[in-house]
Amino acid sequence: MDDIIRVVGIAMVMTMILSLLRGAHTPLGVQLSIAVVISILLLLMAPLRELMHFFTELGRRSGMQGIYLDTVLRTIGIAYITAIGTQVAKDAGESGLAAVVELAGKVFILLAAVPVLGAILASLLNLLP
Amino acid sequence: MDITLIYRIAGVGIIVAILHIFLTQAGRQEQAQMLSLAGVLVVLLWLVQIIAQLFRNVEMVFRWW
Repeated sequence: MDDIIRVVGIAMVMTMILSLLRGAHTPLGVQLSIAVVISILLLLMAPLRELMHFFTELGRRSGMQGIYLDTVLRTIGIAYITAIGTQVAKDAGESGLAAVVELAGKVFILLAAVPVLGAILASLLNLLP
Repeated sequence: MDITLIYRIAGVGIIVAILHIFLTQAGRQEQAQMLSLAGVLVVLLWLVQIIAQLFRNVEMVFRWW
């Protein structure tokens, strides 16, 4: 409860300052918006770590193979970073850059999923006579 | 600790914007450009540090030990 109030307060104050700064000095406005986004995400890291700890504990207790949960976690991380990059680029009006970052995220997620795809293929070949 | 950094960046931004307007009004375009460039570079140095910290943290959190 405390943290969300802090985040919303920062966002409100920074929205006011940003609306002033974007008109007066655009490059510093863009930099300030990036800094705000990254600071809020850094604030979110501690709760996120607890959540991820819970999920890894759950996976460990269910006796799941490590490589599958590792792939899922890695994919979530890539998606998270890609979303940040895309949003920041779009915010600054660089939609071309945002599209490239999004494409890179898709490629790396697919690359991270290759071992799982291989395992699915292998089990399919086992099922076939 | 992270929150003070964005307030610092906001302060630098407002001061640089005001001085930029002053210098432009006084007819010193080159100095205004240099001031603007210096402000952007200083903030960029701070930004690079917190971006690196964010990436390290993300890599640490989304990992299976």
